[in-house]
Amino acid sequence: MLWYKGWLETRGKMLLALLITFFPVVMLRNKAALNAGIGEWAGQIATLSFFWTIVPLFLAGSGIKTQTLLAKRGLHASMYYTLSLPVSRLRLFATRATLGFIEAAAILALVPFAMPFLFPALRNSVTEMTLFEYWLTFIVCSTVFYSIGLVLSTFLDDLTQNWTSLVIIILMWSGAKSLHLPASLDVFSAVGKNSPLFTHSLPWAPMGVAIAAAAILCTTASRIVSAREY
Amino acid sequence: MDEFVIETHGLRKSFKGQAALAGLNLRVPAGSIFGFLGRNGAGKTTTIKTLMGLLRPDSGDARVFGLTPGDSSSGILIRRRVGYVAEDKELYPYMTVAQIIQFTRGFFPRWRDDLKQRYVKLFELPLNRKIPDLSKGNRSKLMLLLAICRGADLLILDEPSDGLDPVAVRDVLRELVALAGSEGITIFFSSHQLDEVEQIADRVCIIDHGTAVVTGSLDDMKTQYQRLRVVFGAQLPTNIRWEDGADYVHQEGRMIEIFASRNVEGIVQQAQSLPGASVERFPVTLKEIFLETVRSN
Repeated sequence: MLWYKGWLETRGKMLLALLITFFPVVMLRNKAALNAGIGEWAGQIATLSFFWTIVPLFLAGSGIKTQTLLAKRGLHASMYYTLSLPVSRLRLFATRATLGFIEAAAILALVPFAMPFLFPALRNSVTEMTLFEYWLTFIVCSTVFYSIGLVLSTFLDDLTQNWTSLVIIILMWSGAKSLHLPASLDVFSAVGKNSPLFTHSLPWAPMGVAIAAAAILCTTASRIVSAREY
Repeated sequence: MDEFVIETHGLRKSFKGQAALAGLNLRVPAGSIFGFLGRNGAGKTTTIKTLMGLLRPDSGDARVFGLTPGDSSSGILIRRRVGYVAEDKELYPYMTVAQIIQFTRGFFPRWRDDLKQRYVKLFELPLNRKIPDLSKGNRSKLMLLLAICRGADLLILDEPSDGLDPVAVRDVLRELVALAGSEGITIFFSSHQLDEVEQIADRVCIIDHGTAVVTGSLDDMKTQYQRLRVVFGAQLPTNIRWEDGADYVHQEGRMIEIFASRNVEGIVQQAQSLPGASVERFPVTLKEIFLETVRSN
């Protein structure tokens, strides 16, 4: 039943996430240069990748406050009702967090299909395997951004969580650029200029960094949910 | 069944240094209809949230069915047996009435479909309507339905009649009394509507500044508390030192009104021994008990 509740809660957000994913595809559709080399598109791909990293944020939720994105905002967002159910807080959190991530992964699975459409040069330079690796890199690296959303959703309502997460990610992005982080730590460049689209290999080091950071953030979020008073 | 379904001992809880509960002792007997009264900010909702495991006490002990609500595993066992109506009455805005009933049913193996049918009809709930489209009264009724149909042994209701019209209040109160009588369910409810509490509660606790100032059976309270009117035919004696229990004494002309919280007989005897005094005794309402208790505290 918690999955069902989660689906009812996130279906509107999933639609929004889909629109965000396909907005650049529609905008850039006619600008793709058939004969241009893939290297000429590296900057645009990096920017697009950054744009897509925000998609999972909209689907992050801790399962306690259960607002829909566009619904009238209530004072406590039905959380007292949720917490009156004979279910542990950890299960509420785990179900909702997993569901949101599965939905985000499903939407981001469309990205590899969109890339050759946007950048026809890719059709000649990458294989299906490379596109799969790109998607895998994207999913793994976006776990860290999704987990930021998870932590914030333990104490913020949905709308505030989305905006705050976005600000944090923009700060992280500009921080990574200005600090010239080594490629092994930079999850942004792992889905951009150092992605399998260009390197034809998986960026294991930043993927490991992303998984470690996501694990810490998820643990933090679950501890907040378990310990918090409502 | 446990003798007391709810027990708290010296329960304390503060928020930013402000004491919300200051050593609350409470015992709710199984099968009782227990009215929990207090002013705004007296500590009613904090108590209820602590009993539901939403807040953890700073010190003291709270037990529901002998279990500690704050423990994760005990909390689940408690919530399986408790129907809770929160003060805010918020439900998922993306569900219809039928969907939330179906959703909730899945968590409670002892779900009562017979009661669900009865209350959907009695409360005239539109099953296909989305929750945000319901009136405040209908939302309250739906919350009650969802709490009652869980097959609960204990209902914890925070202002259950909030938003209901007088007819609905009457229906709801009648049903609560019937439930307690027929199913042996314990009902613990907070309310500002003292006449409602007086209609259905058999036990009452008045909480003020985080402590229970009066607690006990409503019938006993009505015997214990009385209002006395002493009228003097001649000169009013000066400097009367009234017996213990005369909580509030008000003099007007040759008449003295006394609100007695205990030792009524002693006060009556004292009044009758005064020269030229005639004494009348009046029963008090719960509202009077509440107002006098809170005022004198």
